[in-house]
Amino acid sequence: MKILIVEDEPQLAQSVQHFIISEGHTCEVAGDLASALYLVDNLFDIIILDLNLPDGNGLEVVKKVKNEGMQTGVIILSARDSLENKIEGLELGADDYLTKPFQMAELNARLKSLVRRVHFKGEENIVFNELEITPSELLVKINNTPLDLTKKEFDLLVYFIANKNRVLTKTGIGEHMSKDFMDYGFTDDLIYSHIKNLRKKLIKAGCNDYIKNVYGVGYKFTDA
Amino acid sequence: MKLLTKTGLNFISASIFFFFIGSLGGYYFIRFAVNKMFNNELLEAQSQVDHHNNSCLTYADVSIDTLQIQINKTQHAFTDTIIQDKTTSNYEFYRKLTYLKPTDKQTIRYTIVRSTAPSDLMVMKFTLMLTVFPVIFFLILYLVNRASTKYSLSVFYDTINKLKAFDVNKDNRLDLMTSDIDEFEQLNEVFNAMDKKIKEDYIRLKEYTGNTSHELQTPLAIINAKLDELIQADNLTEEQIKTIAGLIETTNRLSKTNQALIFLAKLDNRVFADAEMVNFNELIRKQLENLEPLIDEADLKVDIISRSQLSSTMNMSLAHTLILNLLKNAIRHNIKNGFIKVLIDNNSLKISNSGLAVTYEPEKLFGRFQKNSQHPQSLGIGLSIVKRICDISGISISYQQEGSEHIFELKF
Repeated sequence: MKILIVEDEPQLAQSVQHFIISEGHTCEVAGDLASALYLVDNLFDIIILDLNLPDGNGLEVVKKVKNEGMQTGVIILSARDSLENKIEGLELGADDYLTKPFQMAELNARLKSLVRRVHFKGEENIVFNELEITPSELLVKINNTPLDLTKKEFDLLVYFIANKNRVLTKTGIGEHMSKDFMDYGFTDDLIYSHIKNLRKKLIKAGCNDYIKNVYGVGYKFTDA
Repeated sequence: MKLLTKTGLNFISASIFFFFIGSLGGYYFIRFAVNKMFNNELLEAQSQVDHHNNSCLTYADVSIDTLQIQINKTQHAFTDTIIQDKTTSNYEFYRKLTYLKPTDKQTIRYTIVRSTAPSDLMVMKFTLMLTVFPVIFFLILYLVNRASTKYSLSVFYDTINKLKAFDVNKDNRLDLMTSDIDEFEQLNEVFNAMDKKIKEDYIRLKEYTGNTSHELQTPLAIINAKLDELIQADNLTEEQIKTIAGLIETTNRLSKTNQALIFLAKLDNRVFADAEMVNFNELIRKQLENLEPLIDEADLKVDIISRSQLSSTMNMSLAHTLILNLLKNAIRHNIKNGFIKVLIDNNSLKISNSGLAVTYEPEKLFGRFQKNSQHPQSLGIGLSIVKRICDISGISISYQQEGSEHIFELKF
């Protein structure tokens, strides 16, 4: 997967780049709008786009991508968190909008979901050993037997698999789960009970216990 | 009191006062003039009497009597008197001249009386004229004055109405009417300038809020990203992982506090202006569904009593935040195996929960950063957000405590 990062903050761009490379993608970085508009012609699969750039608004990149009919997915990654900004970005044709500060695992989950949507039209199943997930139908099968999960548990399982073999802190999981509404703190208990329920259901359905506790500070989804 | 009413009342009361004094003065002046005329007639009569010419005196009656006193000089006295008519036995008003004339040994008193009946009618007519005409005159003056003031004030009322409808969130200009009255023209100029300035400042404030958000969120994003990189590294000790996780949590709290403060600033700047119809029964049901795992975890019993559908026009995302914060508060400050009761009426909403029998002061409860020692991880900002949302959405919120039951009531 070819990914372009448009981010004027070198430190942040570097971290995201490291992460993307560690996920096995190729990656280029543009530090301003001019170079982003120039690089965009190289047909990337996905662009991770900051809006506040030193020489202009990152939305120009979205416009160019959409006007020229490129098959490029765009995730906006901006500190602007107002609803108007989000609506504007998504209406222009961006595929997702993530506000800063963000959790890397969250970006990863969105990235994978976007790859499925853009390049597999949402048809691709997520497979992890005996687990098979059809995201478009909210369907989970363990050894071909369907498993009944709530919307939140399903979402959590997809998030875990997208970030397999990574340490996910409770903070990050909480952020992910409360993204639907403004939420201030106090999600630790909620996370704990959701994960407990999900784990119970998976084990009961004959799935291996892949959700490992990491020293009480987080979880790791791994078969190692 | 309206300006027109006030000036009208002033005008009328002053008019009545001066009109009263004027009428009284006019009456006495006429009386005085008429008396003067009679006095002259009586003096005329006197001279005729003196010349023993009584026979041709038609308009006055003369009576003469003799007094046993001595005076040196002739004395005059004019008085008013009432005399009973001999034939009709009616009382009539008379002007009377009494004068004493000394003779050699005695004094003769002449009394000449003259009926004032014909002139009384005149005086009455004059007085009536003095009363009625000014009343009509003042009435016309008042109405003309009122209409003219009202016309001149129309610009002023237009200004007031436009100012009432002023909303800093709306882009349209105030566009006050121009007036040929200098004072109103100046007033409108001031308001027009103020309108422009306020809106400019408001836009700048919004930009400032956005900039603050950006300036703080980006460094926080960097810290987050770096910490995540660090925690994914292999061969970290348990101690190191715990330290990094602690840092991630602290950074997250920092950014949450920042977000909450930015959110409060936005509430204060009324950024959430667009409103729509919100059905609270539906909203509460959805939010409770979201919070279900947490409610199960604490073994709470939730009772929703919907006596009626509760709908209100407000901003949807604010309504979400409002209900979520109230429900989370009810869960967090609950006890194991406790209860949450939600009572929905057609214009009020009560959310009550079991808890510790601790007394909170309502003013402090809604303040910012009011922390509870049992919940150190809480930011203590949720209820102040609730309060602000209620304030700007025109909902009144009250808190009360009945034993160990804590009740929040919203009135729409």
